[in-house]
Amino acid sequence: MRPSDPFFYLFALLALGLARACVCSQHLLRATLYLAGVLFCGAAFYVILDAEFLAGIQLLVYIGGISVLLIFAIMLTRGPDLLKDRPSPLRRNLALALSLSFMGLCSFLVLRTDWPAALPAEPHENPVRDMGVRLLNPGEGGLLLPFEVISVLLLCVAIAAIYLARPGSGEERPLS
Amino acid sequence: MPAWLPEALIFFSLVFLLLQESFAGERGVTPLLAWGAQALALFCLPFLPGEASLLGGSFLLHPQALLFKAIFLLSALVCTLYAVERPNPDREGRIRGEFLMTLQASLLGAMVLVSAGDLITLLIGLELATLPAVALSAWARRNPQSGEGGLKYVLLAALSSALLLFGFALLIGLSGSLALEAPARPLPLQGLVLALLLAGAGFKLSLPPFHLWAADVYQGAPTPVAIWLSTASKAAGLAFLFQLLQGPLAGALPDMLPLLALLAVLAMSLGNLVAVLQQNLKRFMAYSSISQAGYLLLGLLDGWSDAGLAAMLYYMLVYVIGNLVVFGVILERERDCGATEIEDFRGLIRLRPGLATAMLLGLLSLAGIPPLAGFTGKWFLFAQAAAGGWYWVVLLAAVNSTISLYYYLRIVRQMFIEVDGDLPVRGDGGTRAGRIIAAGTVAICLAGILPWLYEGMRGML
Repeated sequence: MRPSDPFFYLFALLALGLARACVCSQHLLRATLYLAGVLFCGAAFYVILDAEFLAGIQLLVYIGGISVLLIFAIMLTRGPDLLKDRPSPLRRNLALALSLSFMGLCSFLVLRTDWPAALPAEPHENPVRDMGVRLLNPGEGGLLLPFEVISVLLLCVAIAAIYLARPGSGEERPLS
Repeated sequence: MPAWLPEALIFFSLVFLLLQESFAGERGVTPLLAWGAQALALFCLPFLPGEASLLGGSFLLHPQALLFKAIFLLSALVCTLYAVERPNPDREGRIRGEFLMTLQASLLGAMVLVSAGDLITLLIGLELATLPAVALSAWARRNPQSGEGGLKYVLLAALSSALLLFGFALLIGLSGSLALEAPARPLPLQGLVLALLLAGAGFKLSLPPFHLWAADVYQGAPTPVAIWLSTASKAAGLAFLFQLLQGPLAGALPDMLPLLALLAVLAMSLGNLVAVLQQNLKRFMAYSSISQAGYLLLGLLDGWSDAGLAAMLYYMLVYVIGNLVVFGVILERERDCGATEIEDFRGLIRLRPGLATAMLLGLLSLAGIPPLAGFTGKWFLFAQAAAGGWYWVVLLAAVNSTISLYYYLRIVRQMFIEVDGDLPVRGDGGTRAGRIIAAGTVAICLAGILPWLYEGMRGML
């Protein structure tokens, strides 16, 4: 048992409890806060795995960015009274059965698998620098193309989202 | 000619459309910027090098990618021309640059997807093909059905992305490589990876049980977008499946065959049986496209071979042209009388004989009646499945073709037989859309009897 193991189990239990609370919460705003907690546990796992950079990204992007964005979206769109959702018992049980069976299948496969020894990791002097260089490297093993394509994706999706969310001015040409 | 030229053309057209939209004001954008770039890119394809590898292998060009790009560009060109053709009779307005830009983005994603040389590029290409299409399906903001369809699409697209990302994460983590190739040794958890990746591809191809989005999205989306989804977006799903089968799942195909056969039979039967009940033509075409995806899978049942590949690509092309024709007629009728119920096609032979004839040939080709192209395409696919020894699948596919004939003929009956009494509005007919529909109809007839198209594809691969 490594010294980090108790922390792993602690955060794993916390993540499970928060995830359950997030899914079962009747209130959208509370669910978002629970979700932020789950994401924080994810950051903790990265720290335990010695991936500090990823932990930082997780905190910055997911908790600092996405959770806050979700909260803004909830507050800007509807009054808190409308945020309650009560699924019917059938839907609830069906969802439970489906999730449990997926979990059961995954656990069964993971437990049954004969895992190989971990791949030897290349030592990185400065992993963040290596990552940055790789993202902009047009040569072998570089990720320049996906890096550029993802910027097109973000641009287009942002513009399309603005178009869809903007109040209608009535001058656009309907396509059908 | 540089191998990246078509992508660059589409990308710059996207940027210029955005810039023009920002400065054009009330005049609106020039649609030529969109369809001109698509036409030019399509024209460039034959002059590109047959094999190329750019950016350290992230971007690959090979004959299969060229054929897929031709299908994508053809669909995009026709969709754009249909979309900018003429406004609705009761709503005048200008053409929005954002619409054309988003369509170009989806096209660019599909083109990157089929040329991807590593897993990350493949995934980003798939997302770039899907997410703009999701936005496009919600584009008709005054139509609540469009919003509903868009919402369902975005939720299921997110679910499929989650499954796919889970699969990719396992794959990359276990093989330790981003390369789009078969892992050197069998991976632990290979079955789970395979199932997750197949689910992602099944969603794009709208194979049951991942088809739930199709009907609502097709019905709610503006018709040019429904055309895009049923042609290029489906071809992108097939391209994604091919990329997986040539890459990470290369060794797994023999084990997957029973599953693929089951999926094919399920897609054909479910699509056909539900299509029989539909009253709305766009919904009807959604179920028809689900069953067509089932036929497509038959090409894989003899294992991975050039003949199967050619058969699937040929059928994809034939299906795309057939859909472009049928949806073109639906769009024309929608603009004439504002609705897409099967009822609205009553007596079309009296009202618009040209459209009715095109629709007849398009539907018969989709049903697979000789001598039209759909028959030849299905023939090659059935032959592949039979060569693999899957006779029960071929039998079920033939039975399904017969059922599909029944529901395709339901529309033909409305157009040609129910010609008495009060007929719907005639409409005045577009010029350009009519010419495209005519060209597509001729292509359907010729592709069925001229053998060199299939032979040419087979020779290229």
